[in-house]
Amino acid sequence: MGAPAGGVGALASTEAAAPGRSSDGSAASVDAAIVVEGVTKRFKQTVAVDDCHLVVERGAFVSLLGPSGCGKTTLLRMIGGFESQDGGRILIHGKPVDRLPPNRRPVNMVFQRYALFPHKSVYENIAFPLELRGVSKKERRKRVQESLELVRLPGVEDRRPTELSGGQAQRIALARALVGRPDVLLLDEPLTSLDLKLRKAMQLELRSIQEELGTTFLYVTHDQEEALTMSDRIVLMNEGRIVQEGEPAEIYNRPESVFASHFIGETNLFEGEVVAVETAGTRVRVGSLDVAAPIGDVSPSVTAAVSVRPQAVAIGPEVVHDHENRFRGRLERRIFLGNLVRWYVEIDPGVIVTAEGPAEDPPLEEGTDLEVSWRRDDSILLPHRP
Amino acid sequence: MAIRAAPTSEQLDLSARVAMLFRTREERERWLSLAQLTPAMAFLLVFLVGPLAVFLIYSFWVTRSYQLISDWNIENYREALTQGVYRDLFRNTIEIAIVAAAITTSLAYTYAHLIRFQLRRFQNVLLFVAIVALFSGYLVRIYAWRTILGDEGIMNRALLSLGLVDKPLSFLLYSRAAALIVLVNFLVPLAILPIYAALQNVSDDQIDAARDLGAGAFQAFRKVTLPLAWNGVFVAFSFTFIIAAGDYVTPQLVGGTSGAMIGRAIADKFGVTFAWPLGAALSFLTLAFVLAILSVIRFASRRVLR
Amino acid sequence: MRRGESVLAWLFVGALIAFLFLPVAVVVLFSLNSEASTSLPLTGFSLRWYHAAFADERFTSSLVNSVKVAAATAVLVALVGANASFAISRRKSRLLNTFSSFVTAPLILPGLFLGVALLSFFTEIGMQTSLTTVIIGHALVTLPFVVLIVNARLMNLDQSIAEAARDLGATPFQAYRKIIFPLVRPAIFGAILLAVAWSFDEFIITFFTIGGQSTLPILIWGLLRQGIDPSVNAIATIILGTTIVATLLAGWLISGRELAR
Repeated sequence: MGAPAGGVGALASTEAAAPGRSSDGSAASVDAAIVVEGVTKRFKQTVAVDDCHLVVERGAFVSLLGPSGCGKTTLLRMIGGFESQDGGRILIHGKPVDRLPPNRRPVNMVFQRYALFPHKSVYENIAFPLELRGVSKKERRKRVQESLELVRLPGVEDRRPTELSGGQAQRIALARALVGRPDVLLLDEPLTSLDLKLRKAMQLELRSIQEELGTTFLYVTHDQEEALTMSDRIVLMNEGRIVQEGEPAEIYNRPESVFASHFIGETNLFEGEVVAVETAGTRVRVGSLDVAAPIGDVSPSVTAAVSVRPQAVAIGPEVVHDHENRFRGRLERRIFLGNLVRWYVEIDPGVIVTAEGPAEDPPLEEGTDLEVSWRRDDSILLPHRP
Repeated sequence: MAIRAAPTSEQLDLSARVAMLFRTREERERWLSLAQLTPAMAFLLVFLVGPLAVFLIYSFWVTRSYQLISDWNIENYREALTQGVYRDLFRNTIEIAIVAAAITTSLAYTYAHLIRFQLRRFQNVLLFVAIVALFSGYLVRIYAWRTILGDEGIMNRALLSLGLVDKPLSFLLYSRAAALIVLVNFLVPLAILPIYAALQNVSDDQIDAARDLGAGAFQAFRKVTLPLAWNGVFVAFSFTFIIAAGDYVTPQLVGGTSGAMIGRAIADKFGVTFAWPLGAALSFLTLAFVLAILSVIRFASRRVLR
Repeated sequence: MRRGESVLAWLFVGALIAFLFLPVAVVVLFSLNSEASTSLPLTGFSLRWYHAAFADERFTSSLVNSVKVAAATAVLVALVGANASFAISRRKSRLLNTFSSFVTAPLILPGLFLGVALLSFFTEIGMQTSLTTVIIGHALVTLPFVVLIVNARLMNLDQSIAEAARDLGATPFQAYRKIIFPLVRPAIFGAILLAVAWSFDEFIITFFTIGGQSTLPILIWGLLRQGIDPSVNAIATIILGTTIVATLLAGWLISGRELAR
């Protein structure tokens, strides 16, 4: 599949792949729902958002993913108009919105704690934006009904927000944000306060509502699984910067940094020194072993990291694949996860390989001597930079 | 991909600079907050700081022939501190006020503790009852106590009819006891509030944890609840101490001789005697004594409760 | 164990409440007494003292003054205090902390102290004592009521509500008028009612700043100095009735029917 990019060049790797952006990199594409150019935000001494560039296509479901404090919420709020920018431009459907207050931007937001108006009924909450626009009573009624049907909660018009459950309140917040038919919907970790089962159900529902409407959704979350489930594209952020961007599978299979490989999915991460750069691939010495990795942008004696997904690791008393990476070790621990089993094998002092797969029969015993292996191309070579 | 850099101030003229002040949402908000705060600030500066300042200044002046003369001196303070009658009054006042504050704080604490930990389901109602009591009169109460405690009053009538005494207890009125009863009566609701608020911050989990680790009920109280609630208790004590020390109506209506307090003397100076500077000096001295004692208590309590 | 403790708890609480309301009960009781005695047993039920009070011009003019002062104080502290609360609730800062301590100072200082200090001030600046000076004194003490209560309410509100309103199309003023203000309004009114309750009963500061006129508490004081006037109980009960009703209403408003999630 070609060599993964060796650096943190998010822009370089996605420019060719993203439709709607001309190949010379000029961004002002009128097709895009959101264009963020060089946007920065400083709070006193800290830089919360550092020179970010982002293009969100119309009709896409894009997630801003990252740990707390990475700047994703700040960036979202700047797009919504709730924080001022210290530099850069933001365009929505081709129009610059930097100077516009939130009420004049064609975007709406679903807040983390829903922000429903407690003194108004559900109906009045949803009708609020329509009222402000002077929409007629009849038309208001119709559109509120539509909204409630869209979120599959008809019949609760007369209830008060305090009478709603968490999941219901979240849907009403969504209905209220969509009733005005915004060009873009911003969502600020709306599922955080729901319990696991409900959250998973809502993830699928949000996705299907988005597909039904065709509205562009920009979704902020710290949960990588959530982002992987729902998004067309994921924008990974860390410490105020966009670190990598792409389709879920792409980011999962070809992380471009140690941070990215750590943050998304489970991974093995081996650090060591590059000992050979050959036409076939690279060899990295980890402990006393040589790990085979694909060709990459590294030179000998440089520190590098190799990331391997646990699912790519085969395990057994004797392995019969012709994998370039084969190591013997001791099974330290075997964890049964229901549908999967995870094995931890020590192949060198302090070097533990995690493998994952369906349960084996009979189960391997902890302490046994085994072989683990994986293909060279399943190694992901990363420069040793977080 | 042009990034528009923020212009530096040198590049702008005055009107643009003014416009820049209101450029961001945060800045606009800051100005709005300032505007909204100004009336209150101004009001306090003029009508709180002003009077206190003038009052302090007066304490260094004199009066001659019913005129205030700005003849700066410290005679008023000297008189207040050396004259026997004032020294007795100060001592009396501090004694009564401390005892009143101590009794009030103990009663208030017990009430707050009970409604918070024992009678939980009713704590809101019972707190509200205390608040209603707080707003149920001051002058009226004190006057009513005069009725209750007098020789012909309810208290004595009840004691007589129950056969517990054969003469009315006249020490119940116009005495230190009366002053204490009355002070405690109107100060308890006030003291309950800060103590209750502090107890709200004591989480049940902390107490449960202490009990779980082996503390008995009283130990849990002493080692967990009390230290956490101490700030509220101290605030309550301070409030009641200050207000009791400065009270006028109580000693005037029910204090008699043994319950005489400095408040009467101060009010007097602002009556026909027109001795305002002396009254001011007495006031500030009272405040000073009270604050000094409170500091000592605070310091001592820090070491004990740690 | 729990049962026994509960009984003791109720006994203490009950006894303390009885102690607190004893003078209140006495005043109300004797205001309905048909004779001018203030000792038990009651001679009979009668409203004569109330009739006497309302027939007395001093009473009605004092009542009017009490109402004027309470109303003016309420309006003043509502406007000044609510605005200050909004300013405080927006962000923390050292200035705001100083302000908060400042504004609560009048609650701690004894009324006598404030009264004579205000008198000194008004004298020094040449301002005549009148109902206006009384209103200033009352506002000084009740301002913290409004600031603290409204601020507490604002802190309880979810900040994102205002942002949501802006997001959905409201101008800042619309967001305030349609969303924030309706949610804060009960707290403001509750605080005002407490200010009214306090003002109606206030004696000591009023005494020094009122000059020649009279409010109900001043009237009572005057009557007390002159000897036993049985209508004092009736007047006192009227004051008590007003303050207690105002406090109950305030409680209902402040504890609020709609609390933000």
